[in-house]
Amino acid sequence: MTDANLTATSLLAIDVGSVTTRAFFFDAVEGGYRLVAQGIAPTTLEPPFRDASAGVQLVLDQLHEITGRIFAHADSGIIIPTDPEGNGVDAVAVTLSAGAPLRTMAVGLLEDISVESAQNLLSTLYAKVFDHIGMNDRRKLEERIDAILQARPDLIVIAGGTEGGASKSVSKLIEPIGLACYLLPEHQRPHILFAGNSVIATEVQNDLSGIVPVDIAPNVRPSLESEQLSSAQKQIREMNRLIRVRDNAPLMELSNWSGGRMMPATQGFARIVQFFSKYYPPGKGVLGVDLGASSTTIAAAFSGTLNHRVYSDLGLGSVLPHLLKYTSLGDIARWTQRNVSASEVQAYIQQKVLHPSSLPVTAKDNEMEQALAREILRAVVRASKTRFPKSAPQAGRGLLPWFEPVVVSGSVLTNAPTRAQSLLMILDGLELTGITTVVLDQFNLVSALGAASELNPLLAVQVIDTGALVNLAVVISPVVQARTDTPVLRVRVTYESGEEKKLDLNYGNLEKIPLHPGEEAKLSLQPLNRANIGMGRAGLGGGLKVKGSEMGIVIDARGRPLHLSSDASRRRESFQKWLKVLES
Amino acid sequence: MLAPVSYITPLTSIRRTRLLPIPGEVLVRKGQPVHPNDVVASAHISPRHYMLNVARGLGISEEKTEQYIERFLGNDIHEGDIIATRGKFGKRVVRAPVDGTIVFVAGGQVLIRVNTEPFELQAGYPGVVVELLHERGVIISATGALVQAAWGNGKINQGPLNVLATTPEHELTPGDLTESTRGVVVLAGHCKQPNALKAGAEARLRGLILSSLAPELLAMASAAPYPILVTEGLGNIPYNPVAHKLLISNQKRNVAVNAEPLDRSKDTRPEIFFPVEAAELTSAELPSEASILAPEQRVRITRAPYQGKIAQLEAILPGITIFPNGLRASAARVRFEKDENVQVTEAIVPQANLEILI
Repeated sequence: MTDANLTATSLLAIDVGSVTTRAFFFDAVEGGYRLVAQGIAPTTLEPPFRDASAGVQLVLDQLHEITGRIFAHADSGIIIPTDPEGNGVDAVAVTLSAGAPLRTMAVGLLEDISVESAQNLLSTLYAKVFDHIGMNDRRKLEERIDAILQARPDLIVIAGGTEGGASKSVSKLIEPIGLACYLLPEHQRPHILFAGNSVIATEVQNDLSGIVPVDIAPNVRPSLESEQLSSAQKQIREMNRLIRVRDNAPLMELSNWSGGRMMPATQGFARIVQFFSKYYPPGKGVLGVDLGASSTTIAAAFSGTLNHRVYSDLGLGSVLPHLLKYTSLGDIARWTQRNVSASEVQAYIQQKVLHPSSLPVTAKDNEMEQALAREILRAVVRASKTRFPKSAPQAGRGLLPWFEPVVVSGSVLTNAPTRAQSLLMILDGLELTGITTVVLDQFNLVSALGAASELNPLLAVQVIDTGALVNLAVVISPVVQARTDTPVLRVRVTYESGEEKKLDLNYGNLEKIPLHPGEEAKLSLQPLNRANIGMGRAGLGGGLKVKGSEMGIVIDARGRPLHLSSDASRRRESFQKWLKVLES
Repeated sequence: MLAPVSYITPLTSIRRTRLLPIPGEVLVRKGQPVHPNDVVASAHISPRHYMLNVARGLGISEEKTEQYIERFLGNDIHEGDIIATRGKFGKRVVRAPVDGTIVFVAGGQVLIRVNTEPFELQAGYPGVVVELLHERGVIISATGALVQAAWGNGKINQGPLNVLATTPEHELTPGDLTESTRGVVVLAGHCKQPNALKAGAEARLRGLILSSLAPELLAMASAAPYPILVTEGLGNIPYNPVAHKLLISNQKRNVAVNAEPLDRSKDTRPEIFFPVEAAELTSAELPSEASILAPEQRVRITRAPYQGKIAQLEAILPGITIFPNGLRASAARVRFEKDENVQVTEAIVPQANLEILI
């Protein structure tokens, strides 16, 4: 897509991750926005630097080396807008995922209604919910005060009361919060976000604002049946920014560069997923997964409605030991192609804690890294599946809904030694269903692009259109349980040249059909043995056109849910076979 | 590329910030010499409160209560103290149910902060308090030999060093820890026997320094009542020769073992410190904690296949290097120091897998 009337504004997107800081420079080239240059450096937010700007300066130096453009002066900071000599940049977008998760609490009326909505809202940030208080909390008033003091929250979200519903009970919930905040030293008091019944919003503000900063957002639970987290996104994002800047003063400069719009990286990522879901035909959702060093984001959007969650305890860096709350050492070890003991996995995890930015050099380390990535993905999917809307189209309970496309980000997935390894991690970790395109965020720029899209939506569209993201494979995953080697899918591929390829896929196998980028083919699919590929119902097939990608068409007939052999040697044989197929 | 710095050095000056998790009280003065076990600050990190309903106790309405309350905001009270009295004949009395401080009075109620055992922040190092951080902690300065470790179980102590690991490959057995090791800090090698850690508790060790620990002993080591520090990591890894040489050369000397776990956000890591009485280094000579990788630096490799090995950085390689497992990364060429456990003399390693050793 090009635009002759394009306003030629350049944009610098800076993404400060927990391990790595990235900068992307976008500019108008030949009538369209392009990614011109990128830089990467270690993040310097934590000691001994305690100042993210050291890492940012390194990436800006790299951009300068590539483009010749000076982006910032040591004394006066970033040059905005571009000056007559062509130095500087017209706009800056900043995303942040570095830093400890915010300490938070959720308060509401009913545990599984408004308290849950408050927790869901907090789960869109890098945050840890330390405690929650509901109407049926059996603790005494002083015990609730103690719970708040012990949690020492940075942020408390209060929800509760549907529109036109309860108001008195909500007011009662405020009492321990007010008292606890009063008891805290002024500089340690949390920010409060009230996102409940709008009738009492002013009352809550009046009760608390003399003690703590209070912000009011639209009700996240306007009725028992509906949850509207998006209505409170603007406020919670601003509170997050204020707290981050309060806790790390040098971030103020970065925030100022972005005009005060510094965005949690996870929200930038989710924005792009939501955008895709508006762009792609309805009928399926869009899924995005970003596996980082200190957190993992999962964002699913259905017809523009976003379902977004950050797991701030799941990542491949220093938070790695938390994975053992979700899975076992044995379950991690089962994904390796060689005999790896539980204690070897334990030692590997500890080594990653010590050196979160270190890289696997040996084949064994590589397998362990990828085994950990698989289990993180599986943990995230397991925890998220129940939160997807019940109306989301899917083959059955407990399975991932049908998605098109699936956007995958995070170095372990995007920078694996081979694309085949990337894809197998994704297939094993996510257990995709039906027909979907796996899109790889090869430069890990989706979060930054999400933040940039707020300033310049056209830029995001055009950069995506021009190949910043890689179509990794078209994946067809029949949902079926059958005996090994029972045929579950009949496939006919008709290439543009007229050449045809026919094959029957047996249960338990993976198959790759080449279809290179730039090519197109017609697919005719006939599920067998009541396999469901999402074309209406089990056993129903049809035809479709598909575009080429790096891995072509991959048929994952290993069944859903995926069962691995309990026999270690057979399991390893299977892994080697699957990888060989994909690497062929 | 920026790389973390690790210290294995016979003489350095350190400044360590010791912080309470929440605001509290600083208990030392500037210029005061401290030992590792000295408490330098304290805070109530698990506060407990008691809400006393005075109105109900006096049998009157909330609005009328205040005139009968005899103790005020900020007053320290003891269990049984009279908080409020009403009437002369058939008088009603409300007494304090606990020891504590009155922190809030309103609506016919008195909120008492109950006295609880405070969290005590230890100095962690033998040195001098050079700065007081209002309500938060102190900065301690010290001079001596420093070995930074990889893992620690959070405990702090000090004592004379007793060297069992005369070779880097030493392995600790329960029989090594007897009455003769009571009250000392033991330098041992690898530990894989749970009974060895138990024997350490029975021998009342003041500390245990290991080269490496079997991963399955992690939980047990974390719960041990004495400080345990691991210099190289989990698994079976011998001491690197530089650390081993420095540690055994300090046999019998007093050593401070601060086994605080590595936490980058809190700027803590486990450290072994041998104080030197005559502090000679100035603050201008304080070493940095991160630096840019450059040729001729001494580096330690943090990941397999050369995990823990010490080498000299020979060159930063241009562009991206593809490793045998397919990994693409910025790399450096290193030359290994003489080590009988390393068969090769040179290797190409990712820059991300290097830490600068000082």
